[in-house]
Amino acid sequence: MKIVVCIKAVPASTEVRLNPETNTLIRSGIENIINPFDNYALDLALRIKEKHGAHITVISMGIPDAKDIIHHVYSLGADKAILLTDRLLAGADTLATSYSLASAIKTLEYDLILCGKQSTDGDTAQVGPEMAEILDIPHLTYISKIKMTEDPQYIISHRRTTEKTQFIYTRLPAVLTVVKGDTLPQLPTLKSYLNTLNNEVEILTTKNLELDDERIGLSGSPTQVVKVFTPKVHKDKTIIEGTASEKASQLIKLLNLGGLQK
Amino acid sequence: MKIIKDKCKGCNLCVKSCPSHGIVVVDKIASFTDNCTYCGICISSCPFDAIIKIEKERLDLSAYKGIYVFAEKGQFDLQAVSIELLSIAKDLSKDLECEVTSIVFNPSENDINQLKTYGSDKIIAIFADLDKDNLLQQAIILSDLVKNNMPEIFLIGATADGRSLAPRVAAKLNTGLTADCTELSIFDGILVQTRPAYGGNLMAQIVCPNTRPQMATVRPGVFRAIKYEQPCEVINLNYEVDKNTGIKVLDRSFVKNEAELENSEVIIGAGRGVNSKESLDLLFELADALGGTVAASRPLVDANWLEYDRQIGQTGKTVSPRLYIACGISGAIQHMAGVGGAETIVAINSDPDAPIFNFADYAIVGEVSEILPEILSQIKKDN
Amino acid sequence: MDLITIFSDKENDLLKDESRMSGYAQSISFPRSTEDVSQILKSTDQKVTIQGNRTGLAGGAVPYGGHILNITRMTKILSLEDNIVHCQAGLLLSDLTKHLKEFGLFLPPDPTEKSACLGGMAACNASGARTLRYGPIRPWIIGLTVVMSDGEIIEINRGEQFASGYDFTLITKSGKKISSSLPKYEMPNVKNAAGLYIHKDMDLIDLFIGSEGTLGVITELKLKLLSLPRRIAAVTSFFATEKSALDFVDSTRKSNINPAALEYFDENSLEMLRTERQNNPSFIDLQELPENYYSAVYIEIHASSKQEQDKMLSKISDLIVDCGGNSSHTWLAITPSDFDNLQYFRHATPEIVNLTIDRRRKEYPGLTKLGTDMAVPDNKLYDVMNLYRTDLEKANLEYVIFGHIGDNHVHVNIIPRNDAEYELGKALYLDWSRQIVSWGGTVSAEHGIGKFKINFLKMMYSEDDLNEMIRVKKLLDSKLRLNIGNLFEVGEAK
Repeated sequence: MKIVVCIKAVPASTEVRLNPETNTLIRSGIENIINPFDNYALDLALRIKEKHGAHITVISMGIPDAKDIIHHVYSLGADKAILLTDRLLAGADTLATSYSLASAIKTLEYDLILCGKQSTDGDTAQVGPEMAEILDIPHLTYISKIKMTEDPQYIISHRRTTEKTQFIYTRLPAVLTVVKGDTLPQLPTLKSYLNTLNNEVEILTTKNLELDDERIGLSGSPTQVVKVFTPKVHKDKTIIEGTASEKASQLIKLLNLGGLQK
Repeated sequence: MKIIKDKCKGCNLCVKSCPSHGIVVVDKIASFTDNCTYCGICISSCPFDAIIKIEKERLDLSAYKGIYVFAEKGQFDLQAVSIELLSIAKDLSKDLECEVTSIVFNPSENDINQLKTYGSDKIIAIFADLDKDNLLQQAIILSDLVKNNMPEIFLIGATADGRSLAPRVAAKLNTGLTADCTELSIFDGILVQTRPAYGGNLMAQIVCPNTRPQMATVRPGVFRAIKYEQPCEVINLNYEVDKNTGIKVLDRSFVKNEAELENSEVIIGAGRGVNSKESLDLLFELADALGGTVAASRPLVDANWLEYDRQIGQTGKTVSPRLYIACGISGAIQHMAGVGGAETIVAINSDPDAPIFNFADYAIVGEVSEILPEILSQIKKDN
Repeated sequence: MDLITIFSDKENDLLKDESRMSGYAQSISFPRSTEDVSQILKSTDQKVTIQGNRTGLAGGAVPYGGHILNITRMTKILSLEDNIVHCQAGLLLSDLTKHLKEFGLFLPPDPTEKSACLGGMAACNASGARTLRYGPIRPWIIGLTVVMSDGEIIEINRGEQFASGYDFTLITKSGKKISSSLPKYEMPNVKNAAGLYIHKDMDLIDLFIGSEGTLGVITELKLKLLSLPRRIAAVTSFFATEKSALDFVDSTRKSNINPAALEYFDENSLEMLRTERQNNPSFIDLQELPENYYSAVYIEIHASSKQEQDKMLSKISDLIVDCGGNSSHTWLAITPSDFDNLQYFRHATPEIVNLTIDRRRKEYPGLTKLGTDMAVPDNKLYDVMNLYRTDLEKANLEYVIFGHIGDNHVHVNIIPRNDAEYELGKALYLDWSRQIVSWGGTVSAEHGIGKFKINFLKMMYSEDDLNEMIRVKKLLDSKLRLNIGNLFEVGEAK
């Protein structure tokens, strides 16, 4: 099976804050990591590879600096890593990103395309479905597991949302956006790291692809960010102190919990 | 984006604000590097207004009129968020002086009444032989409808299905979509969409000036549903269904929504700090005593101590109860993203440095296993 | 005196530290400066217990009457220049670390307890996992401000005041001179936090470091810092037997890898982690442990470049294989989030031990954790592990062994199932102390003696040597007021 996994390098989101006085992003200490949801997508691909055999190509659209982060997928077991990077692609919203990625993926062979459900910086969860539309193939979101069937052109996808659980007969190729499965993604081993040290990350630019200028980068982005700001800081908090018993009685009084009782 | 060299003082504040090393200062003047992603954060950081974004020319899109709202069906009735959407659409329509139209697939009499009651000027009832839960079939029909009718705005509730449907439609229509909005308004005739980014650490304001419709998925539980009295026209349409979309739902079961977090006024949240079944029982007792429900952060659901329908957070539900009591919850942003709407937050955690205390109105540093029995016994005594 | 207040019930938490022992006190103060401390000591003649954030494990901060001088409100960072930070003693390590990170700096020793105060860390010469490469906090302290029990202030910088042979003179800020001679005992040549630090021609600043508050109150520190290494990587390697794990530790030490940390988890620790992970949602995010592996070694390396890092990792891989391990039965952390993952794993073991003890205490309230803190010289590593194993198996006790194996310093935690086992454990502990001291080791490698390990200090030093330590104390604290009960038994002020 040929699997393409789309990943994105994002800031470790717990670190991202704005300095309230200058409204600037407090950057120091922000590490860039592989979007955690994409780790689940890669992990699903690796589990498929382990059980049924597969060739995994990881592709990412990002800034040149992202190369080292993308290289890391080799230590996890990916067979090929590609970074699509070009200033002309910058400023892309989800539609332009989906178009750019889909155009790159069109040059590859694929049975299954996996993405993380959403990225932790953009949080939109839109690129997977939009890419599928552009590639004119089916898509499903919130997938945690898949099962093979006798027909190599079909799999069964297990979809799990807070409302329902579904088993969906899925024709390949298809795009699946992935959530956490039953197991934690594995850490790389020392052996796999050392064995893949010299692997290359293939760099793709707009020169390598046939792209419509109007659909990439800023020109291809119907949405624009106008402003970024810190959400309103929380109101004053009351710290309740004392022994456990005192804390309890204070809380009950302050919230009138007794009045809430059935 | 451009640097106005006369205004730039080389102060480096933009460099410090950039999350991707996209701007540098050389010889006291700023310039962009290849790493710039046009996120625009540097613009707000410059105290001298030396960085500007070059605005695209605005097209004449006055032919697009009206606000469309997609009404998604839940297990029994319309999703609550679809009703909430109607109310915000109504607000927006006043500024735009246009109509609000709801779209619904295979509605029941009850569905139509709901849509009438909560603000639809028009209802488009689509009758189609849809396969169970086939969002791709729905996307095809919706985009066709929208292409023909040219609304300026199309809103969809940000349920799991909605967030799968909306981008498919947006890509078919080659238009902009903003996900999971918590605020919507009209400025200068266009829709201003506000949503959380970076896991909720920051808020972003987004517009879609040059394509139509402006699409947005809207977070459930943020807007309140309001009833309106107005005439309403119901249009029935029949549509053919594409039977070759490549997916088929073989089996579907609804997660037992016994928790019904969406409707709870009082929610008791269980986190890692609830590390024994006995402690968890205490939370259920408290919820019972206060007429509320127990919810969970991810770890307890992963450990199968509670069902997924009780999970609150980035990959769970978003709730807006009157009272949220977080027990043993650290307050990671992925969880707090789900509770932003709570009116009052009480945090009980044994770690005084837990981030939850930055969100709490009332902070108690202590063990859940010690504090909760006290609360329970005192409430019972008072009774 | 406004700063001193009567001790009230609301402050009962301040009567205990992490040893879980609880004391009593009459009054308390929360100074905010060196001057405040000096005033306080001058205005009371009660005995004084100095407290930081009470994270100590040996009762050093537990008061038994008298006055509590609590430094947790002295938290200012006074300056940060040229890789030297000048701060007040009440600053927490976690706050210092966060602040330093913004400047790309760090304090190398990295004690596990992040909520300790710098003052407390200096007073017990704190160590951590990275002590293997960077030493304890001692060499990183290049300046101290100490307030003596009579209120006199000593400001001393490293490299300025030395003993001449065993003779020494300390000069206070006001010009007062304190002259005498040092004890002549020899300290063990291992990672050590037991007793007063003494040697011929010593730098006098070292007298105060590790003195556990018996000689003066540390109010300010100047610390030397390093730039954060460009590359930090870690490997957790699993071995089928303890011997192969020990072989790996030994060979790594002898190689040119210069690891920053070498930590060990024995078979029982791994089993405990496996079990707890199944049953407790708090630990759901622990990586699943491979089956059939019974020991694990965590090795951390600091490098100035990727090439250096990769060379070290390659060497580590070779050594793992040489010692009978398998380089694919490893967890490698190169990215920061994977690194956090391994840290989480590392810290889970002591956490779970504590949890287990707490559960058992519900039935047997007299139980406390029985954890050793002993270290031996390099050439005794195999011997000491053998000693622990043999005795514990014979006594049929439940236990885990984990810790800073690179320094031959592992914590044996006996988890008694009842009071009888508790007594048995204590007895073993004493036996081991004797054996380890005879091998040239120490009874306290990092936790300090405090009040509850005084008997162990007596094993390391003769009565004469201890009297010598007391003599030095009496010299600097003539009324015998400061931290009475720590390190040694003396008469006391009222």
